Amino acid sequence: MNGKKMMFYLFAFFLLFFSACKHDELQVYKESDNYSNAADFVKNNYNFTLLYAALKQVNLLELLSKEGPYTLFAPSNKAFNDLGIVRAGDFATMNQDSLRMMLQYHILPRVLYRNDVPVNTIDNKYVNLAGKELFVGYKYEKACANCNVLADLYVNGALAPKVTQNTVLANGVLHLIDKVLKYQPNLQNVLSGRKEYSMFVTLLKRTGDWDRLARPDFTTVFAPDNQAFEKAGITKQQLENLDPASYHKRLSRVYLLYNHFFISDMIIYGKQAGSGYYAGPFYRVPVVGDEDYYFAIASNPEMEPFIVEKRLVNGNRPLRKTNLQPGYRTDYKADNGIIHGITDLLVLPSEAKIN
Amino acid sequence: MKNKILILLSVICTAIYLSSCKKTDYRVVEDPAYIRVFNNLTYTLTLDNKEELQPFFCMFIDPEFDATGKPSGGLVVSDFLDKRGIYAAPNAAHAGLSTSKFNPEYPGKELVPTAPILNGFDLTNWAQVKSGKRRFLFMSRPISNVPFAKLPDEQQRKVFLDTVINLSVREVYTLHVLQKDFKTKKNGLYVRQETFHKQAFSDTLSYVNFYNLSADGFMSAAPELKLPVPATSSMFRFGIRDTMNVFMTHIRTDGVDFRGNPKHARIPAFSFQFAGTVFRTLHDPKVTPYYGFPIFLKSNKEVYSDTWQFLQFCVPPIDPATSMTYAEPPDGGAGASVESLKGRYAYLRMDHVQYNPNYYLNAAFPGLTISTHSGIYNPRTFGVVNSIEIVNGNVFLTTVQRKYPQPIY
Repeated sequence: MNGKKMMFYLFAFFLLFFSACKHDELQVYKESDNYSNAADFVKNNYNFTLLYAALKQVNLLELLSKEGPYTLFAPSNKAFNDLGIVRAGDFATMNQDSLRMMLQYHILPRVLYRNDVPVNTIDNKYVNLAGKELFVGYKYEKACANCNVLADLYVNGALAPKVTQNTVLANGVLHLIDKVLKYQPNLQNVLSGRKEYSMFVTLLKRTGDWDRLARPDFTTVFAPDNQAFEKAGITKQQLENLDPASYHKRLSRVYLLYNHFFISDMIIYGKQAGSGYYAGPFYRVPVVGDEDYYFAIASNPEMEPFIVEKRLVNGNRPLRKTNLQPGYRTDYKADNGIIHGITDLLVLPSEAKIN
Repeated sequence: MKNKILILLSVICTAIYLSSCKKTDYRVVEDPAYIRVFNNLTYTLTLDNKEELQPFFCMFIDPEFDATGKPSGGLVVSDFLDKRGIYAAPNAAHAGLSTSKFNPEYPGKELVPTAPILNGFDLTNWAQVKSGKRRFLFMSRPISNVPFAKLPDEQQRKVFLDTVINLSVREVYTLHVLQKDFKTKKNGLYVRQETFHKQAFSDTLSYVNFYNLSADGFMSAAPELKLPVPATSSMFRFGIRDTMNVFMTHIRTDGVDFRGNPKHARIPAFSFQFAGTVFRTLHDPKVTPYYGFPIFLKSNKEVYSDTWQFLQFCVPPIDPATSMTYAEPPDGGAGASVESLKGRYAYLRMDHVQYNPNYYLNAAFPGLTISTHSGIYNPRTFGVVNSIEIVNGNVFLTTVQRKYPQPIY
């Protein structure tokens, strides 16, 4: 091989470099900027099959594929399962008007990202498609330099965890929530509509506190269910024959707080000053009409509601404590307050009897 | 010829270039009044008071509104107005030191024309604002680093306080956002026209006066409603009575104890001195009389003092000199829990050395004199003019200084 030939092959070889540099159809990974709209997103997400079925049932899908913008607080399938709704056909048997209203209740006619809500605040009110206010809270916490950021949204007490918030849609934003939002016009509607609270309703009617639950003043009710009365050995007959004059007010008023808050509001604001779960509770308030007794909520993870007597030397020791019902049985929102289910009575009739 | 034209052109260009140089545009306030604004609302939101607005403001003076009715500007816009610190120092303490946007007072960190030296008083901490009828608008805003104008629309519409006040030319005002009624949670603006720059103060004395600006119904409210407030005096947590006598005891440091800590002892001839009576004057914004006291120099060869002041607040029948109930200064014991005193007695320690701004519920405040490098002396102690303001469970100290000789190094 002579030098000339060598040069020729070298030249030819270098030519290959040029052809290798040619990238007419270069494809780098390109993120899609075509977001799906709310209707399509719900349709294509296996975690929202029940929500999709419900939206389809009342013809809201068409609305959600329009321009919007919308914020959709989307209950997961688990949230519907908690209410006993397990298959798509279950929605067909429901009252279609209330179903439609309840789904509109989950949709805001605006875009609301997490960062639009001020950190560590509650009661940020946004009007939804049903014309009612949703109460949005935002818990932000970074407890230490290496800790994970806690950035949870709460809407009417339902948790929208950090990882499934802020799903960008072509026509808005979607936040997954862990329970279905519940709404009734007033507190009486909630309690009388649920047969597990019938004995509590009887008690309130006997003691004269029932009327307040129809008034516009805010009340937050911690409602013991029928099982709680049965556990304490109290029958409906006894409640009907109860003479309210011979009992202290705390018999019924311990369950009625003249305030308006969701369970999550206590998580956002944190515990009060004091040591321990009971002396440094999430919340403590005198029982209206029986101010020596306090209703309180312990700052332990279970958030036990309890009652204390202030006059005692050890005034922070619970006289009696109970537990909250699971999340899907708390945070019943009404225009004049909120109802949370509890599992035990806080005051037994024998303890509240006037001697 | 061509060259000449070119030279001429370049000269003209240079002249234009130089004449277009940046000029300093001095901000002049015509007929100014001098104001200083404090936010005295230290409450934090809890479930009990959650319907109240966040006490964190964007302040507008003579606001202008956009078409949708939200404030968009004005004569003065001061964002991030936070709750005040317990000590408002006499120097420009906020200038260039902090990286936080939160402002404990107005002007504080704002770069606005401040008041001049008036009759020897250094009014760096007062801002100039056009005198006359001025509308003050305080918008409640969330606690964040986002400027007011960039907040979501619905968060720019929470009016906390909207009022019109009249400011006179070249007068000095201290403005306080205060709670007016503890029960109804009504708030208001308290405007006090200061007179310290018009009074004949002696150069060799230090002065202090007292205000009780607590809300109606605070003292009589149930103790559990009075939430602890961070960084304030625990003795005042439950409030004091509407009429309190103040007694001042001067404490000198007297050698060291066996651990090496300084020993404190009161100066017998300057103990339990009556320093005036403090009335609750929330609705009557008048300057209360100043009480003057001497500066106790360490020796007649020095210009420095390390004495400090112990203030006792007692309801009128109590004389701390004869009362056996309360510990003798500099000991702070009150013989009973603060709550059980029911506002009859409280004390304050005024000592720069013991003061720690980070300490929760402290009872040690900065001293009522200041020591600083001045002239050839380092340190040299000067008399100043102080105001102690008691607001609900809090105590705040404001110090104003006179002009001192520059330090010589």
